[in-house]
Amino acid sequence: MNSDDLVISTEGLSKSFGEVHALKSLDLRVPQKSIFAFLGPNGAGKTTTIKLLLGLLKPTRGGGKILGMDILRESVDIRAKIGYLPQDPRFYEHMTARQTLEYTARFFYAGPQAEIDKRVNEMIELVGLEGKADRPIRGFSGGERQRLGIAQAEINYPDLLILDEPAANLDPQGRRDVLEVMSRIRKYATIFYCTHILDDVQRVSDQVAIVNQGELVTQAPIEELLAGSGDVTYSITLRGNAGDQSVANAYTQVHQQPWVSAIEARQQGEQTTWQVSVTDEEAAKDQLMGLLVSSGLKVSNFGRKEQNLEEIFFNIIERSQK
Amino acid sequence: MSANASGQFQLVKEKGWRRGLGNMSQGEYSAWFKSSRWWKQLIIWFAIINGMMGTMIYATAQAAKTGNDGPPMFFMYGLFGGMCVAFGVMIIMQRVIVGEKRSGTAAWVLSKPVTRTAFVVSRLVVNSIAILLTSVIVPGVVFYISLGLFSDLGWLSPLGFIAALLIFSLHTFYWVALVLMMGTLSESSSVVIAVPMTLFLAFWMGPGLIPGLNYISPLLLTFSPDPDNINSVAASFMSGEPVFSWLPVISTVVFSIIFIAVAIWRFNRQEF
Repeated sequence: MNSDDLVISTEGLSKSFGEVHALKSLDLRVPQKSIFAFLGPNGAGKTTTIKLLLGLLKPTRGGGKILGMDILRESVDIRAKIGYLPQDPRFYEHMTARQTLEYTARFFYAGPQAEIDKRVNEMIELVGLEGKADRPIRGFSGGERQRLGIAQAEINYPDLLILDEPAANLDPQGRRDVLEVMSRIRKYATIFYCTHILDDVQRVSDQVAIVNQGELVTQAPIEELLAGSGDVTYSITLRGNAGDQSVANAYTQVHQQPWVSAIEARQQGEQTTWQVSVTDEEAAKDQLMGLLVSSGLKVSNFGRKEQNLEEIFFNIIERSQK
Repeated sequence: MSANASGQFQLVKEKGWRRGLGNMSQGEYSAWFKSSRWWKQLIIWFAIINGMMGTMIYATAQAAKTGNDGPPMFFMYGLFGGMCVAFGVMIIMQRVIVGEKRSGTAAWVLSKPVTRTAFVVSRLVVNSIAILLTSVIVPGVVFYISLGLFSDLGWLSPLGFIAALLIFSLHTFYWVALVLMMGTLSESSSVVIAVPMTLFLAFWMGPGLIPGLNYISPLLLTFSPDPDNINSVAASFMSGEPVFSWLPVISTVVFSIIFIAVAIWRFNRQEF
């Protein structure tokens, strides 16, 4: 990928707090116009990374670029082109939502007032705060603060939107609205976001990076990640006990096939479930079912196992911890 | 800016360290003057300074009837307009930077195109103006008029009184700068208030132990802990007497500048 196509790129970005190494040599590549999910367990270094990108923290080592500008030397210019939603958005409690948005807009625009008012109204409408726009923020719920946070992050038409847990504190409808907003924004901006809600990631993201214990574990397009590491798994449910002779024979026969890499068998009542990992999907398609039937087994369920991001995430995290 | 941005907007033109200064100052100004804060402060200081000085003027008039001296007017004004305001500044300013650091609003503002220097300067300038207006200028003018109308001292020299008000302002600014600096150095409101209070007491009691301390003490600008021997700088201006030394004025200016420089230096290295 050409460096001009990257919105965020970091080289060996590291941050230590005393003896604690929060981020260890992160090399991140975020392509333009992508919805980039930045995942990891609590304390993995996600928020630290965002704060380093924004200039709120200074790296111990390494550096990076956002929109072609250096995160250390051109931080203010970078912040003029991005929008940011903090993990726990905090605003001036005495201000109303409208005043907060106008205050935010004034960091970018000197005028005219009519245009600023129009943009503020658009943002209020976008996040559904019409009824509360003129009330002081001190009376806002967590979800309303989150909505306001999204509105203020987007008020300057950012080229890059950095969202730290955008759907946190939101009810299901609010969550859906946020995903819709993200999908809409992707036409003209790149979105870099952290979340714990992996369903959302699978729905809207096109790039995923996973960090654990301050290290980048993987970074890939979501299709690639969901496709797995090469092995395809078939999930098969058989009637009968694993100790039955016919099941045991079939197990041996299937396991001997050159295209079968592993079988994970599990007994569930009167049924046996196999997770058969194969290296050659075509061979498995042609032969696996035939082998089972010819062994006289009664197959109650047979299908290619669909990977979901949650499983992949946990597998990757577990592998990285070993 | 992205392709769908309206070209109708005029972009902010501030450059260098001033980036964001106008908007942050406007925000601070609104917090003071577009809320009840300014007039509440004004009432408090009117009650403390003008209430007490009104009582002094009345007591002086009563004492004169019996042929006695009244309370030392300029000393008392220095005490309420100087000492009380210094403590007031510590209370008003204690959460200005620390509160924002702890609540997370500082991190939010600093995620916008602003410089940290502009952040500190906006807090310094607007709070200084608001505190000076509500606790020095307005009560001072009311005191001046009260003296002219109701006391035997009559109308003081306007130039002398303006000079005295400037000295009161410098004294107040010193404490504003000190508390602001403490806000950048500490994460605790208690520390932010404790250090200036300790320093104040040291200046109050220290000259008895270290005589030279008077010459660098900001306290000597507005009131003298030892009025029989030394007049405060402000009292000298009001009474038209020569100032005992300019060193307290110079050292207060120098220390105020140092406090501001340290505050900016520290805040630029702070992590959020």
